Amino acid sequence: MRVKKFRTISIYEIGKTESYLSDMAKEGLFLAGMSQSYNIFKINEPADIEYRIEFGEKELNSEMREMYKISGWSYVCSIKGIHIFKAAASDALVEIHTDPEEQSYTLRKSCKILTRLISFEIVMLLIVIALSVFATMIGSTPVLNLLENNFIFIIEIAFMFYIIFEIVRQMQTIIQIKKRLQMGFYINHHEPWKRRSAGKFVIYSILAVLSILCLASIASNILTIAGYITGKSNYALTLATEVPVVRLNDIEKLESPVIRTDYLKYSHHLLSNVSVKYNVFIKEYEINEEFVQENMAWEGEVYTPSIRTNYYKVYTPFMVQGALSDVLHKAENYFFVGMPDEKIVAEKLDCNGLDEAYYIPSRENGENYFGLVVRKGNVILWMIYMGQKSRTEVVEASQELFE
Amino acid sequence: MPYQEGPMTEAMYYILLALSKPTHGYQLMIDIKDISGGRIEMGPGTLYGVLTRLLKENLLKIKQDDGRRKTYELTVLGETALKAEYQRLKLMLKDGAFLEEE
Repeated sequence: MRVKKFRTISIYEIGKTESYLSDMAKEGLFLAGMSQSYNIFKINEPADIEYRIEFGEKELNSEMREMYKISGWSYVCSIKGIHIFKAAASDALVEIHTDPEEQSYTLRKSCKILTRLISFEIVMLLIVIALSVFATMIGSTPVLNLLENNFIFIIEIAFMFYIIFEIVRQMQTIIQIKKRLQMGFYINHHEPWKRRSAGKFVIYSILAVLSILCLASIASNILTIAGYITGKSNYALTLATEVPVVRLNDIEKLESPVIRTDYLKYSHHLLSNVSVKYNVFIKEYEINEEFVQENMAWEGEVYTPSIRTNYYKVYTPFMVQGALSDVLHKAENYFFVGMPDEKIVAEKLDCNGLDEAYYIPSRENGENYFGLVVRKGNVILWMIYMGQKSRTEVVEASQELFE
Repeated sequence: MPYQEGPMTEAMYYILLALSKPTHGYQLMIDIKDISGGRIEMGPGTLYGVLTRLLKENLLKIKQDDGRRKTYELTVLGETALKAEYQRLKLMLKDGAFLEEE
């Protein structure tokens, strides 16, 4: 039978790993192989076995193997050019290394490899940081971008920092061991390994949280995509659909509203539809609603009022304000078409029942085509209304919604 | 560490000494034990490490390689280095000779 155990002691902690493997053998777990992050053990009768970790030659050649074997050391496994040997513990056993100074030379290659790895990781980190900053600043709405992307960039950067931290620590360990060997001290093959430091605990906790966030993020993405396939994330809006936003008829107050159910020209997008996006940090709706009132005329045509609402529910309280200012930025830019000096500025409104409200006039036809951004608690609504009603009715409808 | 005619490690000295007659890896371990009167039992890791290093430094060369076993021998440089080290050790002993009289 085989048992897989997560490797908590780095292989570069030579003495600790050796004594750990030896202690495992005393419990009947014999090292059989090593993978990237696991040690694989075979279960057998407990025995007193010594393990040694060998650096130096990348590939074991037959001559080397024979020499080790004759001296009583049998080969167990290798990982990344590091080899593990074992032998039954006995007083007559000849150590693999009988000269500490000579042994220190075998660690040189590992030092070089680790140095190269650190420089590579640092370059990668800089690239990731640059890309992340760029991706976060797209559209000048950093808070929304971060929320919508599950902070994936920050999590990524945190993971990379951790990797570099780990490699630097391994490097430190190796340098320390090398120094001691050069001074003539043998490696302590029975170094205690059970001690756990508080620092390690903190790092592992942070990593656990980050991993959970990553998994949650992946899960929510899968759910959103699955929702598009099953129709749960993108569906037609009817008068009866329950959505947490201001409905068009809350503003229009028509007796017999007729919702448009046809498709947008040249696309398969319904004119009245709901799309949902959600993850650990934010829930978003985008809802389009449009009426066709054949019996009503407006500016010589059939009256077709419409409202588009973007709904944001932010689950991280400290980011609500940031998200609001990003939504405002989007709302202002939505109507902005011309020169910089024609910039549209949101106008703050005082409304009872709402935490904040902003009116965003469109360039042309400001009376009947405008935006409104309201916030209540951690919910932000950005509405774009077109129709014969004025902002007063839309604000009132918003106040009613949150009552 | 490249050999720069400085003091040798013990392992290095005994390997060069044992290689006064060409021989292969495992036999070297036995020879070293014999030469040192059983005092030195050299580990295979140390032996192999030193052999590779000395090959790189041109103090040794491979006389014969039948694929399974390699036979090593000293180069001229190796011989000179060994003799120089022997002289150095002799001087060291002489300098400490007074310890015997005490």
